[in-house]
Order: sequence, then structure tokens, then C-alpha cells
Amino acid sequence: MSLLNLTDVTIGVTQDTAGHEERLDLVHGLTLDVVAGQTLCVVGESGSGKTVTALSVVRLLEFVAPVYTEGEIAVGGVDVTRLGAEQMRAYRGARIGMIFQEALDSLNPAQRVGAQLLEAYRPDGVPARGGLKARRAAEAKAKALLAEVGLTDTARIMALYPHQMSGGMQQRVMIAMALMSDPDILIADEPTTALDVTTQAEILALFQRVQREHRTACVFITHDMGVAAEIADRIAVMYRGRLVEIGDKLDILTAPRHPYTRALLECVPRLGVSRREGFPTISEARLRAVTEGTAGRDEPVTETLRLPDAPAPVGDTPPLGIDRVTKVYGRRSRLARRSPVRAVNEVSLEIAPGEFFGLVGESGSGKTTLGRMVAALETPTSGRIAFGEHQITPAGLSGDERAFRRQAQLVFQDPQSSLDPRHTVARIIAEPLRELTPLRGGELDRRVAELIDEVGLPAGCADRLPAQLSGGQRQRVSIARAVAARPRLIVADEPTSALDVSVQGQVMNLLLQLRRSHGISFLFITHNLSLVLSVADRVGVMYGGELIETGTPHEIATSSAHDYTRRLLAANPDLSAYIGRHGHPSR
Amino acid sequence: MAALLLRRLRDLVLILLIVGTMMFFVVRLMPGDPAMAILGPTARPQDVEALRQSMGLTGSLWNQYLSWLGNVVQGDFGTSITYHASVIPVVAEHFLPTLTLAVISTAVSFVVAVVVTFWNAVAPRNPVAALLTRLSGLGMAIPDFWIALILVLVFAVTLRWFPSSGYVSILSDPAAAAPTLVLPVICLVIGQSALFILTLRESVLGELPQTYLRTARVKGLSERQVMLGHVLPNALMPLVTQLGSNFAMMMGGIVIIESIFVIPGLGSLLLGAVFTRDFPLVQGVTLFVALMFVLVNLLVDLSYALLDPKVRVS
Repeated sequence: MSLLNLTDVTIGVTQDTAGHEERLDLVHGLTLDVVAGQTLCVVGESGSGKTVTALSVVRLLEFVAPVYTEGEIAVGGVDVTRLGAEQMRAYRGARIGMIFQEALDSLNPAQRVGAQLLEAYRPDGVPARGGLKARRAAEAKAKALLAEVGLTDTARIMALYPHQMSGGMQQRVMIAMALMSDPDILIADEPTTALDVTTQAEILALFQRVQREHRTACVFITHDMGVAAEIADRIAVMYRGRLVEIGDKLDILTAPRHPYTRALLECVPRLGVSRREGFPTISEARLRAVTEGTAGRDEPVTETLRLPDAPAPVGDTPPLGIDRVTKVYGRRSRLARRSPVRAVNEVSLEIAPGEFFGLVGESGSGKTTLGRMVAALETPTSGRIAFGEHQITPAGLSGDERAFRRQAQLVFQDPQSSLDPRHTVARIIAEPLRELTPLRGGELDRRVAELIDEVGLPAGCADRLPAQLSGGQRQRVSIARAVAARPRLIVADEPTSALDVSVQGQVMNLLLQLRRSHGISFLFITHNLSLVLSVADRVGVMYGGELIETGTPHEIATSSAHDYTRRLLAANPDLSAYIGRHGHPSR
Repeated sequence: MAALLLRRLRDLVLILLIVGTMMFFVVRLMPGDPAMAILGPTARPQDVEALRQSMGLTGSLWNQYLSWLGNVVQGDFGTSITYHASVIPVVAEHFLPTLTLAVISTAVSFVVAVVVTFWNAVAPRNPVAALLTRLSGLGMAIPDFWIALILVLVFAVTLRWFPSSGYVSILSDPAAAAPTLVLPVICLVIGQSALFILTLRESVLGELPQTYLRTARVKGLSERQVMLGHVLPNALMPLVTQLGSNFAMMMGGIVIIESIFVIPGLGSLLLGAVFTRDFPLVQGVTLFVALMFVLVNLLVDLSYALLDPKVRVS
């Protein structure tokens, strides 16, 4: 019996434009159902409407936006869209529990987690009555659930504030909190996206166990096909507010019917599939042609870039030498009992001219600190970094800083926050040119236009602000800014982790192209093992501030000597592992 | 925590030294000779000279400063010229009225601000709550002396509900003190609560989009529980800062209100001391105000630790 039925649901917001109200549909005519005891994964890229749908089931959007919902959202046969506010309240928590992406932001920062857990105890959808007795029952329930989610030191955990816990612990607390009133339906909105892969694997296993033992129906929202492969019974694929395809996991992953599903699966980086010649990307035009029926449904909607075989000569790119570099943060202080943190410990590494070196590790492994030292944004505590005539030592950067900045540039993770929101695209790209090169006036404008074209931005972008661009376009702007002064080395710190998988392919293609055509060396920092193994010349694995091993992607993937690397590989939700076990996609 | 207190104690000594030194010299820049001011224009020169001698006003400015500093360190702030008494008891006596006004008006303003803001947040369509919030802009704009005069005209002169002036110590006779406090407190509360409402409203609006509220609602809590249990504790921080600096300002004397309602507070004491060239008293009052300022700010910092667990840990 299905517990949750969405029938022809359209969700949208009313916008007040120029005096008259305008409706903007975010989800169109969605129909799907969730069966008791099963997990339905809703997969889609950003803007596909998956989160809006989830929030509409619990009717949380109405608190923050003027929303309207048409159609029927039935929970156990009752259409929740018609309930009054008070009746709806009884459904939240007691019938439907929810887990969000950022566990830290989802917990009240000023309240101990124990109090937050107890507050969620509302059996039958009403606050438990009976004073002390009810409180005892709530406490017993909270302790049992905390132990169940793996936080066995319950008394200590309940006295903690959210910021005193690790991301994995926070998400465990969130899961326990969602289960406090024994809901029939559990909705999880990207609950593992912000976590490291090994933590993600633990949380996914926990989620599956909890779902089995409590026999809840689950809606699990994710953008990651690999995660869906791990956890789903059925998969629903959404694209631009519409349901594209829904079916059993095996069917969707191995025999997708819709071209968009096929394209999405093709775009996901996988172990053992080299993408060094270019990533497939989804062609919007072809996808539209197929969905509108002007092209056959079997036409591929992906395009794969083929890079020229012969790379550009490396030219004058010098090798990058990192020699026993250590970075220690904080110093010993007598008043505050703080011990210094050894973020990077005795790391030595050579990157050859024109090499694409992938540095992979979990949060806190020191990979970003190492990247910042290579870009001379931090000085090492000991050791030295040499790049051509430039040296970065504990004394700082030797020689002319501008000359170094001409040679080495950085691309940051989040283009939204690393671009000045008040500068136009042209101004952002022109800034390093004006500072680092002698170009002025018309020549400068021509070079900016050239760069905008080179990174594949439409020419009309020049006068726009970052907020008027999409995520992928913003990252192109920061790449254009980085390559403007023709550097020989680019440190790219998680440049694609804020992007959708098809956009990730476009940005990676751009980086690969630039590398081929300009002979640039890359230090590519990421937590995405599948991505880095499919694209890098060599890969280094960092753990606890140490570079524990380096090798070719093949060596790392197949014959790693290191326990930690093997753990990372095992935790990595990879599609080819799943499809390898269960058959091959029919293409 | 011990480290914080030690650092603050060091800052306190430094601030008092700087304020005291500045006031010592500023006071001596004022035109007019205190001895002349006391004895009047017809005094004989030798009498004036004798008085100057007894007041420590002879010798080089540097020597005067050193001897003043030496006395202050020993706890001797000198003798007030107008009150013919040691400075410390005079200041202490005038401190109570100011403290009474400041504490009551700040407390009332805080309660008004919290009630109005959250009433408006829970029931955004309620016209009275919306009106009160809108009026806060007006409350900030109206000068307090004007409100004071209107209140006196309406409630003291016409209706005769409250006395127009006068002061009774709240410690000796609370029942008699209450009516005398009503009008001055209302004057202070209007401006202050308006400021508090604007501050609190701003920080409440900043908290509303936070995702932890989504979690609170998904538990099935009512909007009232969400507002009071989750939004309020997190939104209170900026208000505490505002409240602290406002309270510290009032410690320096609520000059205008004290003058209109004839309340013998620190403000009117300082005003009188400046007019009569009562150097020791001016210096004593300013030092005391600086001390209060630093202490109140220390209290605000300590209350952060209470409100924000992140501060407590780090």
C-alpha cells in the first residue's frame, strides 16, 4: 500500500511584478507514489524541483514564500494540501519526519541537542501531556534513538551544542530527531551531500538500517546517482520541474528509457573510465528536441568533447617543487588551553611541467592549506616551495610578487562568494590584466572579449553581474580571471563541487582544453575520487596533513598500498561498481 | 574567563587614567577662575590668592597634575567647592536617582520591544502590532524634551495624575517614589523602546530564513513555540549590545530629563559643577561615569557568554 501519493501536483510561487501578481510554476503535474517500507530516490540537478516537492509534502514553504499547490498530496489517504494549519501541525513530526542537507544549520545553535531532541517528542502529533512522566518518556526515547544511530555516549551527547559535534554526529542527531515521534514517512533532502565520503557511507548504511527497522517509507533526495544506486528501491528522475522517469532502481540505472536519464548516467564520472580526452556534457538543444518529439527518443543528447591528441608544447613552464612543507596553525598559549594544529605535515611533491596533478582527501586533510601555500596565500611554517625563480619559504614569497602572480593563479570552490557581486564580468576579468600586464585601453578590452569567448561565455555576458549568471557560467568567469595573465600553474580548489554533474563536465572540459592549448600545470584539489581518478595524470592522497601516497590513477584505483586509500575507494559511491554487479547499461 | 576579567581590569585602569588626565586638563582650559567664581567680583585679591592656594590651584600645571594624581590614587578626589563635602559621597548620593531611572526605563523598554516585535512576528496581520512597529520610527524622531513637556502639560498640569517634578528615593519610600517616576520613565521609554524595536526586528528578520527554523517547524511546533523557543534566544544578541551601550550612556546622566523633572541625578550634578567651576566635582563625576561605562560593557560581554554557547566555549 502506498503511504504517500502525489497526483498531478503543480507547485509554484506568486511573484509581485510591476503591481500585478504573476505565477511561476516550479513543479509541473508531478505524479508519484511511495510505498511503505521502501525508499524512493528523487534524483535531479539543481532547479529540477526536487527540494520544492519535498518541502511541499510537509508544507514548509508556506512559511517563507507565497506558494500555491494544485493537485493532491495524500499522506495515508488524507490530502494534506486541504488541511488547516493546526491539523497540518499534527502531521509534521508524527506522520512525516524530515532530514536536511546542512545538519549544522538545521540545528538551533543556541540550544543543547538534548533539548532539541526532547522537543521533537510528540507521539500522536500532539505535545505529550503529563509533565514529568512525559518528560521521562521523551528522555528514554531520545537516549534509545541516540544509541541506535551510533551515539552511545547519550548523556554527554545530549549536553552538547551543535557546533561541538562533527558533521557526521550532527547528521546522526538529525536522524534521531526525525524519528522521535515514529513517523511513517521519512523525507531526507541531500542528507549526505555536505559530508566526507567515508562519513557519507556510514550515514547511508545507518539510514538504510533505520529505514528497515522502523519500516518507514523514505523519500531520499539526491543529485548523486552513485548515492541513489546505494540506497534506492525505486528512482524518480526530475528535470526542470517535471518527472522524467520513475522505475525500479535496476531498470533506471541499467536500462533507462528517457534520454535525459541516459545522459545523466553518462555524465557521472566513474572509476575505470578515463575522461582525459574530455567529458560528455548534456546538450540542452538536443534534449529539448528529443523531449518535444522533433528528434527520436533514442538519439543521444550528450556531446563528448574530443581534445586534440597532441598537447601544446610545455614551453617555459617550470616544474613545481614542494619540499618538506609543514603548516602549523595557532601557537601555544598559557591562558587558553589550545594546542597548535598541524594542518600540513612534511609534504614533499614534484609536479612536472604541464602535469595535471589531482590531490584528493577529506575535509581537514590539509589539501586546501597545501594549495594555498603553493599559491603563496599562506606561508609555510617550515620547508620550501619552488616554482621557477620563485621560492615560498617561512619568510614569505621571495622576489617580485606580481611576477609570481603572473605565473600562478587560483580557482576557488564557490564562484558565488569568490567573485565581487558588484563588479561586472568584464571588470572581474580585466582586474588581473590591469594589475599584472601592460595591457591598457582598447587592447585590454580586446583581451577581455577574447577571454570571455575562450571560456565559452556568451559575448553579452561582459556587462552582467555574477548574480545574473548561472553557477557554471560564474565558474567560467573565475577561470577566465585565473588564466587572464597566462599563468603557468593553476591551483584549482574544488572548482566543480558546487556544480551539477553535467555542468561539471563543461567546466572540466574547459580546464582540460586550457591545459592542452597553453601547457599549464594543474594542482587540482578535490574530494571527488571518481572525478580525479578519471582525469588526472597523477593523484596524491592526503590524510591528516600527510601526503600518504602518490601514483597514477590506475595504481591508486587498483593496487593501493594504503589502508586509508582503500577505505576511501570502498566508501566512494560509484556507479560502475553497482552496474558492474548488476549488469550493463543497454546503450 | 579569568583571563577575560584580568584583561578587562587592566583596560579599566588604563581608561580611568586617560579619562582622568584628559578631564584634568580640559577643566583647566575652561575660562574663568574658580576662586573668583566662588568669592564674587568684589573679592580682595589676597583672599582670592589664599583660596587658590587651598584649592591646589597654584604652582605649575604639571605639579598640580602630579599632586592631583597622587591624591586620586590614594582615594582622595578632593572636596567639592559648592557642596563643601568630599567628592565621593556627593557623587554616590546623586548616583541613585540616575540608576533608578536607567534601570527601570531600560527594563521596561526591553519588555516592550520583545513583546511588540514577537507579537508582530507571530501575528503579522494584526493591525495593532503592525502599527506599534511602524510607530517606532516616529518614537526615535521625537525629541525627549518635547515629549517631557507635553507629558507634564497633559498629565501633571491638566489632569493632575502625576507630579510634574520632585524626587523621592525609591529605597526610603517606594510608594511615594512611584508617582514621581512615571513621567520621566515614560519619556525615556518612548525613545529607547523605539530603538530596541528597530534593533530586535532587524535581527529577528535575519533569523527567520535560517534553516534551523525549518527543523523546528517540521517537528510540528506551533509558530509561538518557534518564535519564543528558537528565534528569540538567537535574535537577542544585537539587542543586548544595544541595551548595554544605551544603559552605559544613561549612567553618564540623563541631563535633559533630570533637569525638566528636577531630579537630583548625576546629569544635573555634572551640569551644576561645570557652571560653578567646581573642578574636583567635575573630575570626580567624569571618572565615575567612565568607571560605570567600562563595568556595564564588561557585564554585556559576560552576558554574551550566557546567551551564545559558542562564545562560552572559545
